[in-house]
Amino acid sequence: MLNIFDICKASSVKEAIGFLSAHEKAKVLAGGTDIIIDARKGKLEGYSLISIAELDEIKAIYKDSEGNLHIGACATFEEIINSVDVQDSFAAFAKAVSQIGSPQIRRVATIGGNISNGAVSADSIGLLIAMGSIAIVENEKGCRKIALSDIHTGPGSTVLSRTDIMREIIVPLDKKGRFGAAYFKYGCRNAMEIATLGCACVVECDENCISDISLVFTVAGPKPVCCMKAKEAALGQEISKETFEKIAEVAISEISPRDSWRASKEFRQQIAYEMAVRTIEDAVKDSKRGTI
Amino acid sequence: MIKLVRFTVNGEKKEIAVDSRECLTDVLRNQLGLTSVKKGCEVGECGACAVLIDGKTVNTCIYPAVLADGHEIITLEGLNLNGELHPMQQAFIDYAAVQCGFCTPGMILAGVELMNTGKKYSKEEIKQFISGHLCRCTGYVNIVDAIYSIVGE
Repeated sequence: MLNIFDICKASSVKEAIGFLSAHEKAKVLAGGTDIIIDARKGKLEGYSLISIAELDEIKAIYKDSEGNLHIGACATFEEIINSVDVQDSFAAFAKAVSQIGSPQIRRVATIGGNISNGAVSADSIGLLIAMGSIAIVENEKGCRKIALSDIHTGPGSTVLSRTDIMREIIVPLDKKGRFGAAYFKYGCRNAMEIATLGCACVVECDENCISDISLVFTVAGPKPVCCMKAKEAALGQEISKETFEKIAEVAISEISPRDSWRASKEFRQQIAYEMAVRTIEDAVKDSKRGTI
Repeated sequence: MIKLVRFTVNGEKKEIAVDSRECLTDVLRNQLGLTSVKKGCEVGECGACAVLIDGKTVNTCIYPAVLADGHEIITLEGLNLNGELHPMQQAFIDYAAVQCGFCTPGMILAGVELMNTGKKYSKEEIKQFISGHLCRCTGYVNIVDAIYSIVGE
């Protein structure tokens, strides 16, 4: 028996928000892969969980008329990976999230949960931030947009309030020309692993130069780190191994990983350089996919 | 809170009262006597508690029982066809893929899920698919071979 008060099912997001507002000790339940474990650990004593996992209104994955990719907050990672729209327009993201947990975890775990948890090691957030994605969040006062890059405030915490429910993530593809993306998850195991360090890169190339780049490290600081100095150093540079190495040198000066039981600070700093070089290279290759 | 849940288990319709704080593992084991569903880690990492829900393997230790309402569940007990072993069960015997047997129900059901897709799989794909099922005894090779013998390319 879980050490909680009750589990209910919501028939709509509005009903779930109403429930959260009416109950001081209440949380939304989506896939449950994190929250049920918290319940088992006794962290949710007296809490009521309101399930939003099966609400179609926040599960849809589609591209809008401008070509932007919408991913419902309660879309599971399995659904995201199998989505034709994701595979066509953001395949690197499908590849990134296919490294989460196991097939059974991906079957129920949701993108909304992965982000809302505020975990610095979340595998979905690096690429979403690098693409300039936004979250649509609703509470009793209405809906608002939050840039993914502004959501995390520290390990395990976000700007989301108690009654906030994420509705969807919008990945702005309309502003992007031909881009490439890649995510490198470093861990000891090939599955069921939390990232020791994550590196996400989105790059746009013009002829033989880098016209835009976003490099984001996860598990390299209390919040995801957007390497702005590395971006400045990269713009206009010719595409070459030397350039990737130069960008990586700058990027590692911007991260501040810590010691944890998974790895020491020094180890993370060492692998961050190599990860940046490889991730940028992979993203550049990805930008050229399909071209002769 | 006590809530009424209606679902089908191994082909039989059930209507049972569950405590809303229970996960499906305990309901299947304690109320329905289906002890093939094992309690391994209870945090969704080892796969010993996996059953087929609407044909797909789900870790029941992190799946609230109240959410099973309206779904179709199959446990290992539901695989015996007229008292005969399911082909996947036979394959596990033929390939010596069982030692202590604790991971076996989850592993067999994972194999059954692949079998029911009707597709063929490489050994690498099978390994990926069982990556959520931990075995401390066999070293996995015989398990992969057993599943491959049924769904292999």
